[in-house]
Amino acid sequence: MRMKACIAVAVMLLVSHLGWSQTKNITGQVTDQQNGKGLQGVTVISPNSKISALTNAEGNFLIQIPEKTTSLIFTYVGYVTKEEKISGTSVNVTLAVGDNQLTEVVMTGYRAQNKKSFTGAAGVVAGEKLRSVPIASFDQALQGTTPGLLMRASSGQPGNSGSILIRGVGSINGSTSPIFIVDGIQIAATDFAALNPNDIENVTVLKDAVAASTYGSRGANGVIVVTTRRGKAGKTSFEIDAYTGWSTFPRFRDYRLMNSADKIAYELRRGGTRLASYTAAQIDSLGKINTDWEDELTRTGRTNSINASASGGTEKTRYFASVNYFKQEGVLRNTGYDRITGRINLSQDAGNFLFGMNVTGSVNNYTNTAEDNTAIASPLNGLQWANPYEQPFEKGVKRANGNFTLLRYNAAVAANPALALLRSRVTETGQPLPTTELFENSNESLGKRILASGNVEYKIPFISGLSVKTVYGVDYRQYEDTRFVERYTYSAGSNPRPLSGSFSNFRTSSFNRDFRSNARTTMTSSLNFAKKFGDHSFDVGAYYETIDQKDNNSGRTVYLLQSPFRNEAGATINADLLPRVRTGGGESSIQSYFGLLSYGYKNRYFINANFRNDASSRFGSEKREANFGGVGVSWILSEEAFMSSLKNGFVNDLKLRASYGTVGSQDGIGFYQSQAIVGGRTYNSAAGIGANTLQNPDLQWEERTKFNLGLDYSLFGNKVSGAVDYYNETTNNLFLPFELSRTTGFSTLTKNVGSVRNSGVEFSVLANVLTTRDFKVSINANITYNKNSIVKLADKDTIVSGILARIVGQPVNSLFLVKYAGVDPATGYSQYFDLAGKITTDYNVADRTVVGNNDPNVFGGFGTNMSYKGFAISAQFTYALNSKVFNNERDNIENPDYYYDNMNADLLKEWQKPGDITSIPRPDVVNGSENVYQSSTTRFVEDNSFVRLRNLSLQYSLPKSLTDKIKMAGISFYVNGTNLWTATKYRGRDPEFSGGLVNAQYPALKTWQAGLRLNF
Amino acid sequence: MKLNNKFLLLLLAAFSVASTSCKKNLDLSPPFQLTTSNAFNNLDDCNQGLAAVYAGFASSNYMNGFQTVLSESLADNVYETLESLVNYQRVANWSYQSDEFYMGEIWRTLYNTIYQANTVLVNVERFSGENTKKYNRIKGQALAARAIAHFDLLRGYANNLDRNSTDLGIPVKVDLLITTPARNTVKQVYDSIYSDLSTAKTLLNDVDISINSGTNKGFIDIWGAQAALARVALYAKDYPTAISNATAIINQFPLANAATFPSIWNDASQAEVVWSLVNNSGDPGSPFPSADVMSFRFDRNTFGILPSLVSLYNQAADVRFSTYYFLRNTQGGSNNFALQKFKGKGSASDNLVNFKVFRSAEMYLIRAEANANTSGNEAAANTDLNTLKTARIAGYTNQTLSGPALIAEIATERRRELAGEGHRWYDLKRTTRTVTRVMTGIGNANASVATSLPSSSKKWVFPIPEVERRANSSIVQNDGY
Repeated sequence: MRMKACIAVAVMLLVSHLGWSQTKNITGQVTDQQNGKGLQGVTVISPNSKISALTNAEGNFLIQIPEKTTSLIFTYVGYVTKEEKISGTSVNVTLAVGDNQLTEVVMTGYRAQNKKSFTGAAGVVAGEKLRSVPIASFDQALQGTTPGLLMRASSGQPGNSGSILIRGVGSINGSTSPIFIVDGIQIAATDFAALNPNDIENVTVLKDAVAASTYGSRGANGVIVVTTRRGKAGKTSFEIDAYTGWSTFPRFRDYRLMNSADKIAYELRRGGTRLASYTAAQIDSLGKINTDWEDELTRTGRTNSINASASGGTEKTRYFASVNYFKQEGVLRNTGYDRITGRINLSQDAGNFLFGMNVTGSVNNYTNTAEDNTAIASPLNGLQWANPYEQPFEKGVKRANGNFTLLRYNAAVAANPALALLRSRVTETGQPLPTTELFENSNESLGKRILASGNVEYKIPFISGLSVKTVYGVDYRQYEDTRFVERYTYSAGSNPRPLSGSFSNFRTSSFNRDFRSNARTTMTSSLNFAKKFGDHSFDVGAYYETIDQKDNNSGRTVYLLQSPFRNEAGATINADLLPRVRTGGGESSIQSYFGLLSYGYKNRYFINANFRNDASSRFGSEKREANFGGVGVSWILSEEAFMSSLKNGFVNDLKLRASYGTVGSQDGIGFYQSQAIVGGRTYNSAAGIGANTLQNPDLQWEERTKFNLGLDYSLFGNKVSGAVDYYNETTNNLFLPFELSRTTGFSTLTKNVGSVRNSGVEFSVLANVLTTRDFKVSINANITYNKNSIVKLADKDTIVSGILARIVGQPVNSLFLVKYAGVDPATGYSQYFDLAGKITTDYNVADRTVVGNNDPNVFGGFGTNMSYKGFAISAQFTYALNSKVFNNERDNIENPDYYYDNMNADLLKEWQKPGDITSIPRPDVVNGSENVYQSSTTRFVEDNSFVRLRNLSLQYSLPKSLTDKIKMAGISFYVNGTNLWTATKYRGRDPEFSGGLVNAQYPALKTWQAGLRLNF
Repeated sequence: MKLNNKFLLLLLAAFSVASTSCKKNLDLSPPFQLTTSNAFNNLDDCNQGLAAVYAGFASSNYMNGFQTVLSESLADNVYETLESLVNYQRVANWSYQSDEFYMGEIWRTLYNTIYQANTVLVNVERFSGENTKKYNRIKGQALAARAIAHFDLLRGYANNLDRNSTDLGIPVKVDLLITTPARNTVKQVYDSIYSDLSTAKTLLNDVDISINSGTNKGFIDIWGAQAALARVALYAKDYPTAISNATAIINQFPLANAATFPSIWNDASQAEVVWSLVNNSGDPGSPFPSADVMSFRFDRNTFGILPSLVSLYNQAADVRFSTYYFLRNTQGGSNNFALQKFKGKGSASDNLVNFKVFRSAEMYLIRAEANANTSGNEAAANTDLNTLKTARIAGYTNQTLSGPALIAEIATERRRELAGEGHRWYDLKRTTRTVTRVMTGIGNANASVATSLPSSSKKWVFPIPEVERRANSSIVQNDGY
């Protein structure tokens, strides 16, 4: 409440001074240089103020500007920006077509800055690239678009977000995700699927210190600034975009599972399983069953989307409004995502007051299944582990098709029907049936997300260039997660059972309902002054900002006995089956003061500087505050006289940039991690308390120092343009899980020790190979090389964490395993390399060594756009190279001790007698303790570098002559293909994976879609 | 200009109002948790702190899980079956090394249990004057718990378990400080355990209200502390202490008759039970003791009973056989027995059942073994052995044994009585130090069962976890790792 009150005070103080402005009106017309026609929607900006206007359908505009204004800037997408001096009350301007990149606007979140004067490193992705992509989560569409940005989808499950790294892994224990700013307010970096990609005007990726340090407290991992679409003055324009798509499940690439004949032969050869006791006729009949569990679980998933938007307005009032419906079926049955979103963006000029409001709301339903785990009940594991000679259940019994089938369950239940209530429906080996687990249980999340922000700006009328502004916004997310577990599924095994009575020991179903809400509010107030004196231009701002994050959750579980209901309505109230309740939550706040300064001289030398003080509630009161700052300089070489000869030749624009600064991070640690927490305990049906964490009063900000050197270029009549950047970033005071002697009772204490460095080079190029009136061809490419290494750890050089190790001098996510040396043909034993390189059959953890890195060090994208008259073809590839993963899926189907469940067909090549040359060792332990199976070796390490055709699209737009006749502004048809082709050495389904260990993978969808776009 | 100045002032005022009066409160406390500074305000709060100690014992890393399952899977009572998800394979096949997950988790969890006990002990002193008998009740339990956890660490990670051994034991932890302690000698560890237990005995003899009831033995009372001391003394070969403390329990907790005996295991009866971890539906963690041996919830038998154990029983007459085991022929073969000692409460089969830490039957065996090893006391040993067997085996006729035969029979009886309860590995460790698994006749064994562990093996002592070694340069690793 306190926050709202003080905004009101600030606003009231300002309102009382309304209407003191001294302004003048300027009118004019903007026309196309080529054909002389008026251009609609050109932005007319009064420099050094926030006043702007738009041209109408004929290209005419009216703008009310401060008395002393001497020039106006005209910007229009696809045209070269122009600044024109004003003399008198009218001005006419012609604009020329061009992709002059220095004229782009960079949204730093706090303000828009002309790219020319911007000294930082930033990449801009146009909204068109994000629209109509058949993936709910827009972050995934950023893959390959911007150098320095590594996006890995990790999952093809509809609705899931990907993982983004900007300029490498900069933290070990802390967050590595960039922060996301939408229309000036920070949103939670999760659940992007709730936002409508069609609303996005552009996305700016801020990478270096001067760009990111305006978010000092949070900018360490980079900043992704999303700007949504605005209305343009003039006639209201409507757009309707609808598409439908088909997705398929990718099959195994490089290995297959055993079929029934393989598996039966393998089991009989190994012996010991139940099959050994069957007659030849039974075995023969069993072999006729050949269940393809992938077929049973997967389908062609359909995607449908319809988006409608309207935008328009007057010079004073502009709006953009949209609604979107998106529904995607997963390729795994019983998974999917659908969403409805709506948005209104409004802005109003009222003399010296500017008001703006952006509101979007989303309701979505996420039906999902567990992935990326090793649980045997996960259907994505079960489809590999269930035997091919087993069959799914139908109507409570196993499917029968005339063949002999393993009927332990059926036979037992036939003999004693009550057993149906005591037993789970699993295979003979105890492997849960993936069909039963996927179809009978449900896992849903009903999400609601509201992003709302309002801003008010007041230009102080009698001091030209001075203004105050407040932005207040909220990102509110609310989820209702429900999970129903049917009693005869394996997953219900952990549910309690009645101890006595007529239902004694019956299996129970369970139903969970959890409510979660997260509110993040941001308030930024600023005082700005922008002024031009002759050759000098200043832009100075003083800011105060607070960010508050509040999480709450509560939930319940009820148990159901023989009830037809699938929710609380069927809850059984029995002393042994009491409902369970749970709750949790917390709050975290940041408070910041900061100043931003931009200075330009002669429109060719620029300095950006910032300084800030941030305080976070997550740290102890002594360590709470930290100062960050950065400075950047740029020099437009191409404006210099000595370049003028070149400027007429092949150099159009050349800008040199350098920046240095520090940014902080507090994400990735708990809200209360500096405190010694005492939590609840339960024992003997009574509640109690116990120590959860150790006190940690010295915990403080993680700090990243960033250096950037860059060059923006535009050559050969602006035909070739792009940027080259070198960066070097060091994170100090890393949040590191400092290992404690376990005799303290705890494993680790998060301390600020150690440092990590990322250095690299980024290069991007856009070449307009051909630009004739009808035929246009352009090629784009970007590449990033990133070197990641740990500079310092605590007082030791190595921290091992599972299959990964943190070692000084090595990348953060280094795989740390014993090297596998194949099979000894004489004995069939697995062999390993010791550290000296000698081959041995003794597995020793002391022989572990770094065998690869999870994170690619070279990545980027390339593609082409071609158009001929109304036809346009675009192909975009992405790639990520030199990364390795541990293929845990293979470990689980090649471990010979799992041979009662299905296996990799490669095991048919298993060693059997001396002299066999094979890659698969003998399966058994010999002489009591030799040849014990070991999984933590390089046998399962695979290179998951890949090149992928991320998107291929073909579009046809009807000619204007035709659309004009039917009074339409445009009609286009398009066909898109997503993830159509992938080249990789990785042997599993999908190489695009961000963790170290691949298991129960929901692979990226391969999608075709066809759509129609109407503008009128 | 006058107006301008006035306006500027107003503007600055507006900005400073916005930025100062809105100053955020950054001293935030968790809404659903406490901190050590505000959690312990009186003896009642300290008593609440004991829940964390017991929850430590009940954790799936300790008595309800790893500690118990390891002791069985390492020894010669069970073998790994085909149904196993092979999570314990490296342990069961003695191929564990210093990075072994289970030994690491046991080490950490037991020290965390000690930390929780120390938290109670530190705080309870602040309110010592509040109510002496109440203070005694709380402090006595915390001291006994600390001793038991130290002892469980000692028997796993130390080699020589004699009372006065100067071999390396484990670090004794009696404070809340973040330190990197060296290993104390075995003798020093015993000194601390003895001291804690005898103080606990004194304190628990003078309490305000009774700690356990006839139907709930969920806490360590004076009998629990004495039972612990009896067990510790047996390992330490301190036979007089073992005898005197076991005798106290035996006098207090008579053996169940054959009719009552099975109901001990489904919690219908508390007969013979000195202390059991009470596991209830809805408890956090995994309150399912030994579910990793035989899971009734998920119908999966990870470890089957070796024929060499099955053959030790008089199947028809011994009430323990039908109570402890059942025939499970789901995966090939026949005559495959599985453990049902932890099947569930009442008639449920969901592994949710109390874990009996101390029973009077163990005390008979402790006293028998102590007497058998004390010259002149063989008759007393035979009496205890016969008393126990008579209670378990219908139509049993008393035997009189002596010398090694007596000691061997006591060991066999321990195996018959305590199978599945987490004793076998340590009993072998402190006696013969040989494991032999005879696999003949098993139709559902996993292909990878290792079958013999000689006494020369270094695996008889658990490795100090490599994470401990990295964090604590004072600590010395055991031989062979």
